[in-house]
Amino acid sequence: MSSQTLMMTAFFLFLLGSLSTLTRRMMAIRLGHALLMMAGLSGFVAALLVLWSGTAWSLDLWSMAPFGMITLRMDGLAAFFILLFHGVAMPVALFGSSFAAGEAKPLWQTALLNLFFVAIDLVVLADQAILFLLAWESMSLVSTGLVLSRHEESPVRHAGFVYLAMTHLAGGFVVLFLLYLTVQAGDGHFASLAEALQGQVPEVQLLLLLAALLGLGTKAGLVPVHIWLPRAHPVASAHVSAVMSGLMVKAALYMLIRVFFGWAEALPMALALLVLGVGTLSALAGVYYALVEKDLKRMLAFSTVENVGIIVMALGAALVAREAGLAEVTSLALSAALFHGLNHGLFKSLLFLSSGAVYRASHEKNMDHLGGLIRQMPATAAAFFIGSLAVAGIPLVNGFASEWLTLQSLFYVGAFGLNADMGMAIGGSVNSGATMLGGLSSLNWTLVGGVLALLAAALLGLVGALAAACFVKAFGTVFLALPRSQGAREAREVPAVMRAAMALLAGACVFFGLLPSAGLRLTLPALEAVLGPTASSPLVLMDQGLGLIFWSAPGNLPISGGASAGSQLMIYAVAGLLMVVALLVAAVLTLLRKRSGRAPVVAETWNCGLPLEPTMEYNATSFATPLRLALGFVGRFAVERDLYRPFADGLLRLAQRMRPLQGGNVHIYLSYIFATLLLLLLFGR
Amino acid sequence: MQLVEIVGTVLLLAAIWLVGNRRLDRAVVNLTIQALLLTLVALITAVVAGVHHMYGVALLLFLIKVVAMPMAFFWALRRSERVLEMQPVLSPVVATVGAVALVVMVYFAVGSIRLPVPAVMSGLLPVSLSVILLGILTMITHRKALLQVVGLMTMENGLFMLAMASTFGMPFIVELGIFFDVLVSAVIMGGLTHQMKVVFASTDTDRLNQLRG
Amino acid sequence: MTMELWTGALQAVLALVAAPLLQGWIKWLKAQMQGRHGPSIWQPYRDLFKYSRKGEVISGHTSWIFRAAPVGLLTTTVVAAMLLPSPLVAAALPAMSGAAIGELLLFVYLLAMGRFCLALAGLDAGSSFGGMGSSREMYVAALAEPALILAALVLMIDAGTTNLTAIGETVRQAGWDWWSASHLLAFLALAVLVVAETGRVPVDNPDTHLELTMIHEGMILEYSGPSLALIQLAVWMKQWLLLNVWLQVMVPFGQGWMFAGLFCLLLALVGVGLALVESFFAKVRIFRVPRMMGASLMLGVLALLARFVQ
Repeated sequence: MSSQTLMMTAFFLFLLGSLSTLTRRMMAIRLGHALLMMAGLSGFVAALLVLWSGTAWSLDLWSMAPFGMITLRMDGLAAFFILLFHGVAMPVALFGSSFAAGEAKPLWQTALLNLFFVAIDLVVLADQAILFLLAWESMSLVSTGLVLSRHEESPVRHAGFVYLAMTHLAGGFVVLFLLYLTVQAGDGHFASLAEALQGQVPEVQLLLLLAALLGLGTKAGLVPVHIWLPRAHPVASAHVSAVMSGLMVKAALYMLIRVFFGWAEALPMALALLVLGVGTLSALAGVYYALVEKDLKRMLAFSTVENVGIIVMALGAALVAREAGLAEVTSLALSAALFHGLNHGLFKSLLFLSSGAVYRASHEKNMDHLGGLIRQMPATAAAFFIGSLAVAGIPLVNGFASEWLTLQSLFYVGAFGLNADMGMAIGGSVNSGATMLGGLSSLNWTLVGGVLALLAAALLGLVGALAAACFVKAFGTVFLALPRSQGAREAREVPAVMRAAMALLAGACVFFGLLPSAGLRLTLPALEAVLGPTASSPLVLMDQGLGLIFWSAPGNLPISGGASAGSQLMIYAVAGLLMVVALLVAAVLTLLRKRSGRAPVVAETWNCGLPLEPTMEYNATSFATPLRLALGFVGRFAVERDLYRPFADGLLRLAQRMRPLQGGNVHIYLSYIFATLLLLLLFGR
Repeated sequence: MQLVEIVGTVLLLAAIWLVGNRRLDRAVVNLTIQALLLTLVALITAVVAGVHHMYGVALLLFLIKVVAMPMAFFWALRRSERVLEMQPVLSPVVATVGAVALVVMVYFAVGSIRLPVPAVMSGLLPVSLSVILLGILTMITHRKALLQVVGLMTMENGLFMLAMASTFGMPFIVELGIFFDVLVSAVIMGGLTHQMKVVFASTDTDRLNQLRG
Repeated sequence: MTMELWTGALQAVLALVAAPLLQGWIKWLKAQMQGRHGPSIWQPYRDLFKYSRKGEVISGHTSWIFRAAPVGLLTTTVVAAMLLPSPLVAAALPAMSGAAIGELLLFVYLLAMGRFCLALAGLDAGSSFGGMGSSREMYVAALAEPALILAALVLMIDAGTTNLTAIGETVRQAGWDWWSASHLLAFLALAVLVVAETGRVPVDNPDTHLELTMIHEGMILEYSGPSLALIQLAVWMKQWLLLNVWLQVMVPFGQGWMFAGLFCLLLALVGVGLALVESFFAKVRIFRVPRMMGASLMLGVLALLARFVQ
């Protein structure tokens, strides 16, 4: 079967799955999820075929007057994201088939989940502005419906409201961006839009790109327009949260990549640095809020903000590299961004699913009330452990490889910027009689980009270390030590189906951790799709046998020391080494124990002679306290209070002022209409 | 000449430390360290550039700034201060961060300034400028009269370093004149400090506004 | 590949054997400076031997994490030692130089992996000491990380790679010209971090078991017997490795026995420095640690700037 047919089959199965819930039987939950899983598989294979063959397909649906032909198109970039969406859909469906029954409105959720996948697939496959916007808005609405499935609770309603408000704001900017270009281009086809964007004068182009960044960034959860994300994601059911956090933000990132790399050919360095800065800010703020959070799912949602930040940092590095003329580094950084998107999709869904399992077993969301679950729920604990390792960027699990590549690309941008054009900083950028501000505007941007890229790399190090602290906290307080509540004490392991779903995702995390080159291979068609065929032709990512990544330094990097080895990361070799050494060490330990002639004595934890009580343990709050105090300055600026509150207040005051306009008198309303018509006649000619 | 730059950078670090410093005696120690580093710069310039009178300058620097002035300062400290802890205007953390921010600005701005500095010494230019500005910052952020002197001396150190960097040693007579100026100003400031102590029973320069008519 | 493996094995064995000696040397020096008789230089070896012969007590509240953590910690440290080019090996056996994998960021992340294991183990037993130790360990590590990455990357700019073997080569070729203002600042920044990462005064006190002050000792309070031996060995190895990196980016070591001697001499001198710091400084309050790390980060930023105008 061709990729096209498979994709259409997937759509058909999604719709069927959605319709099946109309039977209103509990059986339909199973059926809906089974169809979801089949659709997932079908689309997965479809995407894999495109990635494998490297040939894109497009499908004309119907013609629509002002917008031209409505077209679906799957190129390398779209296929990469479809692969991620459908790859995650399968374990989520498996998990949901058992999990959803215990949630509020399971039929409603099953139906919407199927529809959600239709919408998100269309977002990625749309090759035409109006179809994209339709899919984009349906994705927002369907996910709002999913968030509101427990609308009886007031916080859920509030979350839904904030989500809807923010998502519409974002939608407004995206509409503005796309429709403006459509008007300019004459039709809504993406290729024409790209041309139209390149044809704009630089100022207009900049404004359009800023609108796109704002609109898409809101949906991706970038700081400071992230405020909906930590509210909306956690209140949905766990498997839905997994889809929203793992996948929906990626749809926005997909469009961001398409616009910034595929459509815009050159943009001012300042904008590239802005992207880098926004990414760094999101990563830092996200990880800080995740660290101080004690609600397990909210913490995971904040961690999504952090990871989106890391992806956008890599995108920023790619943009800076492109402006500096470093084609290889651009490919590397973009590849890192895509790969981290894939990895985050996998480990974040894994973490959300296991948090759902924890909630199902213990009915506790607060980490301070959990504990000791590793004894009753070993499988869930193992799944969460692998997810934690991945999100903390620990080697051998998938998060590390993409974080490493991001660091590498930032470093290369920095090293290039600082090595290139020596003396430019002092001599070259001087215009005679320049004031200090004049000096700033004539700065050598490659150099400045290099300096800022290295600073961003340092902050990425901080983010990684804080993420490690955060997930030591999460795993330690949820699964280790003594249970801190009745619910945690009575928790039992979840059914085998849920465990299987988590095992699938955990397996994928380990797979891409041990064979990162497999993941990077998948990104290559996507790179070609946006950067053109030449972009990845130097093939900076060379695959040397089994999982050996070797990245050679770009040839045009002026290297003073004469070393040209480049950076190698032989993760496979390292994994082998770790295993061999671990076996050796374990053998030594066993030998020593045996030689001492005494089996380990099992006793109580030392607690100064008192029996150990759960209340004495360090919990999530106490664990995070030192870092909360040290980084308090991050938290002191509350985005909502300092940024949104004044804005909302102003809006309300304005609304208050407008109230007299609504007199309730029909004649007044009629005269408004009259005035509008008159004005239109006068000015609208 | 890289060596000069390294020594200059250490001097810059000392100046940054001075801004966030909270103890009077450490400020004097800091100044002594600065002077020692400056002497080192002079010596290196003498050896590398082969300017012989720089040996004399180095000797003078050592005698006046490393030996004589710290002694004078410690003498003044013993006479006028009981509490060595100061209450600076800014907290040390804020002051240090401000100092580093200042240095960052200098480094970025230095590209647009044209000074007749030989190319080998170009790395020293932002360092000296930073030290000069940090001297002023020290004077702004501290209330004690002694710190005003120390700040002034720091500025002078920066200037002197810049002068040495740009000329490989000025004519000897000019340098002698500068030394004399510095010495006189130190003596005057010392006397002023003492006098302030006598009049106000404190060396807090905020008290000086009581002198308004 | 085989060559890399042999070099790696040699480096790891060297670190395993020499790390306790370095620890013993520092401890002995410290005792001398404080006017105590002090334990002998060989005491760490005796300690390891003693621990390995003892029986073990394991808390019943713990899980497999607690039992696996010592193995994980020592494993990651040994593999880190295998990756890291050792100036001593390179100087003494020129055939072996340049054969280490030497990826710096991987080295940093491997150490983080060991720390992750140990911090979880600290939480596992459920005692407040363990939790406190883990929390503070992650706190110090997180604050040290940005400064570490920044200073390291600034030093790597010239080589254009994060491969430590290549850095070693770059340093060697540059000779003492390597000592520019920018690099000096980066060395200083790294010095602060080495002190913090090895758990020494003024960040942590390796000798204390007073619950309010301990960081590292708090995490491993529940360990005894052979497991404790593994952990101690790993910690000493980490100290050895960090000092190795630091000396390597700082000093242009050539090849030959003379440079091997120079390396040993410098290492001994660094030991003197650490002992001096331990003797003359008090441990700072845990909430003052950010200032130290901040100072190190500032040094890194200044190093970057100095590189910027070069």
